Amino acid sequence: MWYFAWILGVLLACALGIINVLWLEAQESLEQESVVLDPLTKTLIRFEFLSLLDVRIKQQKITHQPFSLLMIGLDPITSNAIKNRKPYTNEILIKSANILRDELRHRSDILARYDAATFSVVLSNTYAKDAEFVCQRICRNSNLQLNSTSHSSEISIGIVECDPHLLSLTGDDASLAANSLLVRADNAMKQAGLQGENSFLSAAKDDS
Amino acid sequence: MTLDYEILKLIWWLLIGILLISFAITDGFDLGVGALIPFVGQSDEERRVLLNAVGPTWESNQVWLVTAVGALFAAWPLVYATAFSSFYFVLLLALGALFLRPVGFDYRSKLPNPRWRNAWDWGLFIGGVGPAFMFGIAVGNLFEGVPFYFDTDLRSYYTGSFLALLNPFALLTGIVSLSMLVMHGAVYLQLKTEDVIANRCQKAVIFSASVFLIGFITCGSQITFNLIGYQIETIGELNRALNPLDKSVYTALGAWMVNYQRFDWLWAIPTQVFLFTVLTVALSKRGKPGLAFITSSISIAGVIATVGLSLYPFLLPSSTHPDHSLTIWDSGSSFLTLKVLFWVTLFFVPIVITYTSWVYRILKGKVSVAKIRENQHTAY
Amino acid sequence: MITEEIVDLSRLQFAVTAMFHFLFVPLTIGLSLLLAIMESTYVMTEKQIYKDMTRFWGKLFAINFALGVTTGLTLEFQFGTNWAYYSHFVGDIFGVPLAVEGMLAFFLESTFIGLFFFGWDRLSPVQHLACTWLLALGTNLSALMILIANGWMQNPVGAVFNFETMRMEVTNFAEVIFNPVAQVKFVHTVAAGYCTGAMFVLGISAYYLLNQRDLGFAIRSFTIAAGFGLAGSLSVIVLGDESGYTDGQIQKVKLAAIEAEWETSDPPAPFTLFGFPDQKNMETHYAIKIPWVLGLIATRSVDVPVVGIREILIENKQKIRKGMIAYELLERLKAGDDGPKIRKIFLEYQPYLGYGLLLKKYTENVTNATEAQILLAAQDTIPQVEPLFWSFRLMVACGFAMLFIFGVAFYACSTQRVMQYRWLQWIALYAIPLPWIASELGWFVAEYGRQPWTIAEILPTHLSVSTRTTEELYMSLAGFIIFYTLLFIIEIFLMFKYARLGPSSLHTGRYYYEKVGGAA
Repeated sequence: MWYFAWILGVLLACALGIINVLWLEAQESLEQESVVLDPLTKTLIRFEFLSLLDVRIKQQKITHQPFSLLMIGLDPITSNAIKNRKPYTNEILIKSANILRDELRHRSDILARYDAATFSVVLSNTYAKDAEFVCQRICRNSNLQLNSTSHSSEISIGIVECDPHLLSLTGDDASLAANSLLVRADNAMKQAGLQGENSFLSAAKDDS
Repeated sequence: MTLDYEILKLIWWLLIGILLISFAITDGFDLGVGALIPFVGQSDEERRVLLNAVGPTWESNQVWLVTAVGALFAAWPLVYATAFSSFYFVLLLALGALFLRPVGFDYRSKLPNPRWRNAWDWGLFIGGVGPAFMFGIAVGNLFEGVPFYFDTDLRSYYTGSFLALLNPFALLTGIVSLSMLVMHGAVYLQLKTEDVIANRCQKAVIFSASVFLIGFITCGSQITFNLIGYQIETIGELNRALNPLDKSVYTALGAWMVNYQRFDWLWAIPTQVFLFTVLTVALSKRGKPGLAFITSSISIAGVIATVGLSLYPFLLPSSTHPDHSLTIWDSGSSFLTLKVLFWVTLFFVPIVITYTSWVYRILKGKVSVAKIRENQHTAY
Repeated sequence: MITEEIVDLSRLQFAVTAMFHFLFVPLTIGLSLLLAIMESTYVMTEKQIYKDMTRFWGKLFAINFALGVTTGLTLEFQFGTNWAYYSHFVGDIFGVPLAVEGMLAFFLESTFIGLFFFGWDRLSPVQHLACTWLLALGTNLSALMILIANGWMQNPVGAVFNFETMRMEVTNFAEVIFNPVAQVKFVHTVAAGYCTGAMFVLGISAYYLLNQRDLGFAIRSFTIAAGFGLAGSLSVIVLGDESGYTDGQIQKVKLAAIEAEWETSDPPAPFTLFGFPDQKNMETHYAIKIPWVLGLIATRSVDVPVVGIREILIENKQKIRKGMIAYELLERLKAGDDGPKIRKIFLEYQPYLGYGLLLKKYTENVTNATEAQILLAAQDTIPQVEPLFWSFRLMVACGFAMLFIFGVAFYACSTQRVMQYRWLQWIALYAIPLPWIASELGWFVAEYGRQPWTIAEILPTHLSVSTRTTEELYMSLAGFIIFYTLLFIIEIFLMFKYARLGPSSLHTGRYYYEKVGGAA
């Protein structure tokens, strides 16, 4: 009789495993639906991004793992171009979002549309020098894909590495720490823009 | 169909033979390929081609060995027990060589280090040569008789030594076994590979087939003229459970040939070995490895059949106590066991052959260096 | 001839090779089913990540499977090489499940494992899924056959002794297959395998979660393992209980030894939680007893006693005396004095022949053994209590620990809190060895508790060995230990390497090490 019990039991155990993970999938898709995305590029919006950034900074205090924050700006899509509704701006934004998405790891890294023409990315468990490799690839892909007969655009990327001590420096205030990171990344991005086409730059260590 | 005990004993003699032939035809070429790896494969990628030619199916082939040994245990437990304990180190050395195979195939390409890979290539070489050679040695000793006896509890006592098992005749049969399987492996490789590698295989076929034939004929003449053979003098009722101590056996020079003298047509089988081996070489040279594989298989089946037929009805003769020799009539399992196992085997083996051939069909096609490069991380 | 040293060395060699084999088998059994589950989810949801999971855990499966096959061959050969008399004596029954294991189970798993790895591009997703399920079926069926064989060693039903061929012969295969001991042991052992597979996946996934890598991959693997492991650990404990109950009915000596039940206590018997069993004085020092528990668990009643060792000893002395008569009759039968009258009497005493054979350790002249020898033989029928006592308790502790971990993990998965419970992730990682410890202890209890018999009450261990020399045994034992250690080091090295690497080792371009710096 135990042989029959085994047959039933195994099927039950397998079913339990499958049901458990399908439940997870259902929960996750529910979660996805409740998250607000930017309709054009299907990336996170700034608000969500900032709260995730806060969480990451707090997590870092426990896990002691660094992460890198990237600010990616698109030129010459300035606010003027968007206001004037040039037709290619949307195309460029979507393409850029896709280029970035390809380089990121599902569920580990974060991609958001920070601004009209700026994306922000968090690379988990990554030092700045490794982030630079990623940026190299992004720049190369941008060079290939964001140039066409009717228009061209360049990107500039600012990298800042968040190290585990940051939170303690700001007295445990996550948003303050986040702010300082964003400012430094922004500065680095603007400097990279000055450097030339499709380039990136790491922020100097702690100039806040 | 009324299967009485006597017929079942005969059937089981045939079945074990079939299982051993299946082992030789399938795992045989895997062993042969192992032996060829360091020679036919002359770069890392070429060697990977060889590994992947047999990789997906070799493990299934080895199960024929496992099944044959298991069936031997179940149908002739006394033979299994006596042979395995007498041939202690011969079998343990074969076992040690067999160890290197599963790990060799799976682990070899997992690290890029060339010394690691080369070491495993030679490990697979040992894994091919060792078992082929050792099994051949065991067969040779069967012809010569093994020095053992039983007490009244049927406990066996082997009175020889390990080195005694490595006598000249047994070494010769070992070489025959090895060369036969290398030939078979080379033919299979020729079927599964292209260009340069396939050409090297052709040369290997010619070389190994020659060694094999010379060895086979020499063994044959030794057995006919120089070896003492065993024949049953008196034995109890074949239809009953017999005790091996209850018979008498006579020995005479060349007595292994008695079966052939009784039934002329049996000569066809060793003759077939010669013919089909030559055919194999010819087909291989003509670039028809598929047909060569078939003729090679038939030839190998012929070798095993020759061994079985020459020894019949003996399974394990005793050189010091001929009356204690184990034959198919008095060392088999009970009637019920032989019957049940017969029907079980008849049911499962065709199913096994069916899905195994389905797998071979799915995986058919040549293996090339290009394919290895494509599948660097998933291939063996 | 056969000395105690040869018997001990043969036992040691078999124990070493069998326990080494069982380091790899449970993972094969459990992980194969987990692979089938993951791939089923892939076919159901068509989400790429599940295919990646199947392929990655499949890589680890292959590393483990290789050594499973390697070490398995040894055991098949070893019955013949080192336990030749045993093989002759019971091969009629014991050989059959081994032969069927090859035909039924090994072919299934070995054939379809080839397609599992190499058939992704040549088969449709459903066809490939079928291969994975057949692979899992094959591994489980091989456990079935070998446990039918081992179950028969513990409870030799459906067979009789034939003095003409001096061996056991089968009378009823149905009894052998449906042997209650075989049934219980089978489900218990495969359930242990499921726990092993589940804990392996759970722990390694926890490692990725702890390192914040490949989170999507890790959380899904973790979730599947938690569900499957919960079912597995519940089963293993329930079947363990059933195993104890069956022991109470069929192998009373084993139960008494495991529980250090020296005396037959008034039912329901108390359970000794801790203590220091003392075999010579037949008592347990500093015993902590819980009243009623043993009686309730082992007999499932309040009035059936658990037979104590002292009582068994007295019973066995009687059995030995009857065995001496049986032996004498057997000798006469063998000598040719086999009239119908003597056969009839022999049949009466035959069940005790095994007990008579125990005396052969001390004297060739069994019929005229001395009182002192009978006492020694009787004491031999009681296995060593202390190792069994502690092994059993440690195994059960591991089992309950696993149940707790799987339970919490399952709860965490259902409430989406796995990421928050870092302590759970730590525990899962460091709990990976638990199922292995439990499995090996379990086999120790099963086999050591069967001593002094290879076939319970029929064939003593010291008569079961091959007639080899001590030098040969030392050499083969050393050979196995050295070879196995080397292979083990290599396997562990590769296993750690790939586990650390994670799904990036699939080189799909989707995972952690492939995005950053091109590290792997």
